[in-house]
Amino acid sequence: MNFNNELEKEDNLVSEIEGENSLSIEDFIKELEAKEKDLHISSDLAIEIDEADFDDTNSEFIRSEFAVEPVKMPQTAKPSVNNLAANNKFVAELEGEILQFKKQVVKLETERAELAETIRRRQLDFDNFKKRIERERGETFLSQISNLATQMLPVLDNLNRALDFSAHHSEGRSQDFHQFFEGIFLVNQQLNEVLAEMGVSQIASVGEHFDPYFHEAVATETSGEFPPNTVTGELLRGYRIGDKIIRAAMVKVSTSAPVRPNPTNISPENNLKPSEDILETE
Amino acid sequence: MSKVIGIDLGTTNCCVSVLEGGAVQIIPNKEGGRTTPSVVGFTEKGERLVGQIAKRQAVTNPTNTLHAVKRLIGRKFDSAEVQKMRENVPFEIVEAPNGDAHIQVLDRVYSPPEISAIVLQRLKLAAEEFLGDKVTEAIITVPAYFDDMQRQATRDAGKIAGLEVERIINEPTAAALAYGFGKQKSEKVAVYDLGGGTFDITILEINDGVFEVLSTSGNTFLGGEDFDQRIINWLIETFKVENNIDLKEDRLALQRLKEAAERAKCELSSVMETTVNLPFIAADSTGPKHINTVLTRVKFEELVLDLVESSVEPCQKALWDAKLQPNDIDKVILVGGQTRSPIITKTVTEVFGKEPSAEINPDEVVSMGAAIQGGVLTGDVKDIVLLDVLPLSLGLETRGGLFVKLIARNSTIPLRNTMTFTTVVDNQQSVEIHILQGEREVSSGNRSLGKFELVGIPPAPRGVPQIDVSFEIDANGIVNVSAKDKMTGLEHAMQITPSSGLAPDEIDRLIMEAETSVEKDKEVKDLIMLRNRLDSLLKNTRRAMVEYGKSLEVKQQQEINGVLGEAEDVLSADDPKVLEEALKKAEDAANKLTEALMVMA
Repeated sequence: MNFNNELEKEDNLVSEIEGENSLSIEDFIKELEAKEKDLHISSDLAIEIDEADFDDTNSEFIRSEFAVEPVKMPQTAKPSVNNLAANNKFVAELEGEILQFKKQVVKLETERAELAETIRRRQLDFDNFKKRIERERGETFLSQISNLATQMLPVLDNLNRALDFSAHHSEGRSQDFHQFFEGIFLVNQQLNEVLAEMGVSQIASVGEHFDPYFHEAVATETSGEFPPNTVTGELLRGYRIGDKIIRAAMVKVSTSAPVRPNPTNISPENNLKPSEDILETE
Repeated sequence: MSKVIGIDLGTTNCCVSVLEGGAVQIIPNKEGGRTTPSVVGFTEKGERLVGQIAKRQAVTNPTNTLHAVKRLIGRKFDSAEVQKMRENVPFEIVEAPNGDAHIQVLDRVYSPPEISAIVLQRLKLAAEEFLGDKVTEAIITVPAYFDDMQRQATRDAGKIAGLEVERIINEPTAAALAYGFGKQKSEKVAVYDLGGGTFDITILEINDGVFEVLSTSGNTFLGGEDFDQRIINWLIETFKVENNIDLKEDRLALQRLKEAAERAKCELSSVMETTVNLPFIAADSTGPKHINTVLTRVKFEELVLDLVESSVEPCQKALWDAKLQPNDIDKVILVGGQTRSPIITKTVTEVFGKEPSAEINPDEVVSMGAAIQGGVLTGDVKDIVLLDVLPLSLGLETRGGLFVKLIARNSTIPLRNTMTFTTVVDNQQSVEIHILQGEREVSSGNRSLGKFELVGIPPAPRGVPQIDVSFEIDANGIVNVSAKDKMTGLEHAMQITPSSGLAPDEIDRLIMEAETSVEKDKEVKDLIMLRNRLDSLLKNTRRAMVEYGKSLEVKQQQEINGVLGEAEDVLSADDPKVLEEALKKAEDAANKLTEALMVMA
């Protein structure tokens, strides 16, 4: 029968939601029962419906839902032969009607299960969303400072470039120039102090092992002074705030040899002479 | 059911997203980026670096830093694309025993899926952190023109990364899904995808959830990076004319120019002119030199005009191949960051006669579509059914090297088709079944998927024996081919995979390896960190000893120097315990030194 087939398809869903029937469905069942009573469905009639529709093991659910009706009745309760024709017609009509209702139950059950599932998923999503927002809120301050610093750094870079240039070309300049230069130098220092107060610190580079988590290599050079894979020069200063890298330092890195076809026996070079050159203070 | 993530595994960048609360969320990587560069670096110390970090060390480690591996995936070593790529990349592409293109890194050979898997694994971890839950399933997108081998290889990459690839979908299909096209009526959609390094144009027909690829075209070596280069060149030339200094020689200047060019390009998408301001870019005897140039949109468009125009021809070809006129196209979608430039919008509007849709972030739209498809599979999205279609026709080689299609492109799968063939010479006892994929009439123009022979056909005049050849494609896109002699019932069959790609047991091995490598990577990283700490401590203490050591007692000096010497000896050790011990001793020594100095001060 159609009904059974349909039920079979929905079986998974149905068994999944069993045991957590909400009020609304129970209400509906009660309504259905009331309607059945109105239609004068006697227990006699239930037998045939039972035999016709409930022979499938998959209909456990319906059986439990309609347990108010006696599902197993003795065969002797059949109506008398006289009224059989009229009754049969009546029975068929009612049978059809009940079938409709049952289909509706299944349909609503399915819809309800889908909705419940959707709500469950949304709730999970929302919980996770909340957790993430909470986590992100802790980082908001850091990320805002980091954003601000990201935009400020090019200005600081250019100020540094100006100072570097002036420092190298200050010979023969006037006293006024030197005083002015001194002043700008202090402004630069002030700016660095402000950054430091915000928790922004410079990334150490020259003389350090090259580490792509902190350094961005833009060039390599052979160096007699530094062991291989060491930062030999800083082209652009890097900054960090806590563990967060605002900008990687742009650096030059030493290589052991220009061509290195088969690097088999690599061990970290450790000829650490206490060279003053490593001190690189700026 | 856990979440199914959507991954756009791009040539230059990847993007991962997931459906959450009915809306697509882009998942940021550990460094906070919404896209991750498709770059993997292997260091000599055995560390594997991914994305931005790998990119930062590319200069120091060019032969072991791999990028654009997507151009190699599922391809043969001797194919034109692979040969072209060999000329352009610093890493070594080698031929695998099965003829595939593999990559030699340090002392190991990797298949392209293994490299892609390393990137995928990183995206998976980011997703797990974002969702606070295990992620085991994914949808991955591929270009519409990818053949069976390339799709299979992409699927393998997912598997190695610990992801069950629920579906491989076409990038343009994903873009159309993200826009929600084709839900009610049937539509023809053109997807114009200008990414970092490749240009693809695809024309789709969407009908009741079936996304048919009508045609594809493009240029595999055209992308946003070419646009940046034009601005850089212009800046360099202008500067040279004005100052007679060639900035090409200066690595830092080039790097600053590159960033400035990219920024200028982005700004010109919304304003008519922008200022490129690079103070102290160079200096000569006359003093410092600055770049402070106005770049107008008009000038920019003049600089890139030929690049933009070179994308028009593929569009027209795609229309021609689809047998469509521009006004047959209902919707045009823009994908890829470069399409933000107004000149692209203008050109696309001219070609297709309608304004393209660009409301969704073009860097993220493909991944978003993949996430929506993920939502369809988990049941979060209900109003879309996306049926899988065969991307390219499947068939056999017949007499004279002609290609006979058994299953046409765009057929929805799974499906099965049988065709009857016969012999071409009298008393022919065997037939060769050569399976190919492609659209060309001549077999040699199509991709060979495999071949086998059906032997033992009873002697008969040509044309008499009847041989049924069946092609069957299952829901996972796996192709089975069988040939059967009707008279004798003799049958031979094969599954397409062995001639190329990775064998199943090999994949299993790689999955194991990938799982353990995450831990190994961490161990290596920890070891390096430990070593670096010891190294800096040593350096600093030595430095202090040189300066202040003399003021200590000789015994103390000897003691400290002894500890430092020992520490230096174990610096190259690979055992973290040894390093930790040395670090502790060195720390004690350093503390003693500091204490002694404090007392003296």
